[in-house]
Amino acid sequence: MQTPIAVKMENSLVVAATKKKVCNHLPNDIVLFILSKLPLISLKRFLCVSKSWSLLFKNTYFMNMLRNNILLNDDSYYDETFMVRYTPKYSERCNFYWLSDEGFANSVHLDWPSQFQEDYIHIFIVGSVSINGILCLKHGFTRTSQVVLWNPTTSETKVIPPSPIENRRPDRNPWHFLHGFGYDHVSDDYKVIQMIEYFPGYQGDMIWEDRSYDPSWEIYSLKTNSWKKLDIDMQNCYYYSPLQGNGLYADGVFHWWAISKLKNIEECMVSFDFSEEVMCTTLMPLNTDGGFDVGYVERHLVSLNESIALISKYKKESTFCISVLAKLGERESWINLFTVGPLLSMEYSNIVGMKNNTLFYRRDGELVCVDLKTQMIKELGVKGDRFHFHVGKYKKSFLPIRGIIN
Amino acid sequence: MASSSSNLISLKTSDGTVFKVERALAKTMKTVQAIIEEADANIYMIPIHNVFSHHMDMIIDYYKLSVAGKSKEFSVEKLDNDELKDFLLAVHYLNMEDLFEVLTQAVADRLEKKSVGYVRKYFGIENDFTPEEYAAIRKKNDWAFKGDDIEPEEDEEKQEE
Repeated sequence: MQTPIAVKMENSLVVAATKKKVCNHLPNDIVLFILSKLPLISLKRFLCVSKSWSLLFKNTYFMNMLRNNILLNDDSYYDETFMVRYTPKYSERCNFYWLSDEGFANSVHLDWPSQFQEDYIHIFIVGSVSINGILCLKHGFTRTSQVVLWNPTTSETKVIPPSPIENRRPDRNPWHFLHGFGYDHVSDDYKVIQMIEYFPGYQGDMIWEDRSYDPSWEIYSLKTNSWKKLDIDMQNCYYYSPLQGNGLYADGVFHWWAISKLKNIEECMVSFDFSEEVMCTTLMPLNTDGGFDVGYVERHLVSLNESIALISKYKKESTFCISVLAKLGERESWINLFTVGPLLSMEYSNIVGMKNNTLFYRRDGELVCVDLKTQMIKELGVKGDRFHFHVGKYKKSFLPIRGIIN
Repeated sequence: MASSSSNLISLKTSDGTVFKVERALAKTMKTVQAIIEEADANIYMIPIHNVFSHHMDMIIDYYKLSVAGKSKEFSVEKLDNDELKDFLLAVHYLNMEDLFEVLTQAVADRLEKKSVGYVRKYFGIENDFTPEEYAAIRKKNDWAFKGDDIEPEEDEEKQEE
């Protein structure tokens, strides 16, 4: 006979089991434990509960628990990490790899699709993550000649047709292109958004006043296989340098970090919602650069536990800060979560990606990563002569690119 | 009766009920485990204060589910807020890590969309802001109060009328 897990003995002395209702105040440590499991928006709201609660984010014990919880719930959705390695000065071909956790030696190289067989120097992956197994590749970062959707699991590709000339400003020369790729869950459609910046000539700062040089925005729908103009009013004063221009796709929205060429305009995150087809901006967090030399700051957007996070790397201090955004569009909702460093020889490094609490960066031309939980640094063995890298997240999918659409 | 060589440990709840539980279940209660290890002689019966028989019933339910790999099926939905807090205190006293995580998450889930007023009542906290202080901090975090499924503040609701 199997031994029971538990046996409840009859007790004749007990008259009735009463669910005694005591005035049960939970002790402080339990309260903090509970709070550390709340989403950031709720926490910000509950700052208004009382004076001591308003100091929650200054409570080290609480912040440690909060950080742990955020790191604990890492993304197990994406199972692979991809890495694109670029040669110094982007002078020779770039290569695509599946990055193994053990390091570069165990990483598997994959050929680019046939559309890029001729020339694969400047191939960039838009958005840093796959969507249903699809990566959006562009040939040429700012002078983009071609955009191709590629599923490396199935090898299927779809070349995005160029946008019609009628959509462009007739009297201006297209100069720079910026792209975003995403999925609209409402219409079940993949879309590519494109910004065309026009050649400003040599008009100096006056150019920003002349709205006829404003960039044009267009959107491509895979379902209709066509482009349409978007009415987006944004000042043509932002630039998206290579790392920021790759952008980040998360949850139906595409994000870029935009730095203004005008000194009186603050940096911000620009976000495009693929379902609503609207753009919004979120100004950079206040007080994040406090004490650091912002002359050499580098910004990078990553996703952390389903939220957007901004990594600010301060070159001089070899330190980086991570702020998480609780609500899109709300500057006040940036929460400064981590400060890491000073890290050895992080001065000459660039952040190249993030996955599963591991931040990848390029140091002296090598690929290195740091685990945010332990702050341990690991070299990945991609030694070489000052390569550049882009690291992103991928999840295999055998879904056909076009098959989803009738 | 219960001895260290037996498979069952006897636990006596605050309301006098005795539960004979499998050693493995007793092991998940770090408080009980410590008592067993510290005892010089074999322990006859371990009293567990602050734990009632209805708590033990739920603890046993949770244990059975987790042993079967179905811990996700455990639910405390039927408990009202006071009952849940009560249970949480019992589990905290017994120092049961996994169940404590589950219950604190359950409380967090209940509070997530609630108003500031609700949270004050829940934890029995006084509003010690002056009206000006409250207005200032409220304004600063106003965006956190906006959202379709967020419970509106009681006093603000009245003002709208």
